[in-house]
Amino acid sequence: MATPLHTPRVNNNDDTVRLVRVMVTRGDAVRAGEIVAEVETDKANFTVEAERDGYVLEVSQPVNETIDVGSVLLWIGDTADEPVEPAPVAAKTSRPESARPTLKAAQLLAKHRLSAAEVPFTGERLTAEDVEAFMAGRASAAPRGLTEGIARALTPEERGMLRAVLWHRDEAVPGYVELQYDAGGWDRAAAEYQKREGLLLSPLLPLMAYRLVRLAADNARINATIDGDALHVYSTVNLGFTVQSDRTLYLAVVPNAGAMSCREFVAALGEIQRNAIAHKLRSANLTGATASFSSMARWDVRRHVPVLPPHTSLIIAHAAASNGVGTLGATYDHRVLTGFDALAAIREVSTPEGLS
Amino acid sequence: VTEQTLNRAAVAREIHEKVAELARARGIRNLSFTDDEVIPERNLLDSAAIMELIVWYEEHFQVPIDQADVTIEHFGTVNAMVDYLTRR
Repeated sequence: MATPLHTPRVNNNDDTVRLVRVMVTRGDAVRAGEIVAEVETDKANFTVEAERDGYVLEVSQPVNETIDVGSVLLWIGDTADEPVEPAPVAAKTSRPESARPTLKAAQLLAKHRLSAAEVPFTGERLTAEDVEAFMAGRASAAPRGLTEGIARALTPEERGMLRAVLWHRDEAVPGYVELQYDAGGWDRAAAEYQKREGLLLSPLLPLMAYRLVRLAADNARINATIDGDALHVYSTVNLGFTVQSDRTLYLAVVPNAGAMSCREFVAALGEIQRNAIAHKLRSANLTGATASFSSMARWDVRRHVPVLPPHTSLIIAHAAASNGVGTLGATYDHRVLTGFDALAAIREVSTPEGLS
Repeated sequence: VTEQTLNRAAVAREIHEKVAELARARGIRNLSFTDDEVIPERNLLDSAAIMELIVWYEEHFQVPIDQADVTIEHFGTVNAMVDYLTRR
């Protein structure tokens, strides 16, 4: 049965909060206690946790809008495809009260990832017709129509990828730097570690990723993003690590990696990689990356420029070595880091110092 | 020959064939390896392929594997993987 998760009251004096981010999308599995959204008052930010296990049926409020305390934030059901009962969605925007979206309009806004402020309205409130007219105008402005075909809904993974590339394009100011380094140093360090620990798998990439974890833990700007006019520094380092499984590319997340020892991190990442390959990642390992690492060395790729995961400032790209010379690149958000900052980061990661 | 040794041989064949399949997928031809050879040392499989092997093993034999057990000792050779299964 579908149950609503309501916008919590976080301060007795605040009847509204701003919805900063939603960490889940329709179809995601969630567990009771899992953080699904972040809201903000004038005084502080607060996380919102799922009250039950289940699947996200609908995110009912647009991000970056001011919403009423008590309004339905999202719906959670026993299965991923059950219907949602209509409920008042009290989206309150920064526009005048007379332009508040109706329930249907708010749902359409969320569906098309629009904010109410973007859509012209004709009556006292923003209606579904207003949103549809706006979308129709957008469609007619397209250079050409689509050739006849069959449309299907995006999978949750495809939606995640779409969200990432759109954030990279529309929000971040991406830059890219790279350097060459002596790959032999890392190869030797990884081989020694593998032998010492008796590991089946080469720990090379997990160890390099752990260097990034330590760097992000010590350098706030690497573990940060821009939120409005503020620099939002994350309180934990959640390491994102790309895993290709069949045709699906996951950004598997090791939560709170900054609090882990090297050995704990290597083990945690190994387990999460296995879960990704089996398409059994838990939702806690699918969202919330604060700094990321990606490698395409397996396919003998010598250079790749990754897309920035949403709300992060750095992703490091590892490529195949040639004649003992490796290449490390970094895509960075120029709003947070300079090219010099990014270069300094990959220079640090290019050496296996400080591991134990 | 006991039933147990028959099962062990069958399991070893299945694992051996899976390793060969993953190695062929990496473009390795003229495969020849024994069930006592250490797979990572033979460079038959890279880390990602070994991980695929572990995921297959876990699902195929319905044996949950603790990450701490993903070691050379337990999964380094075909025979080690058979031993791990018979101990579970």
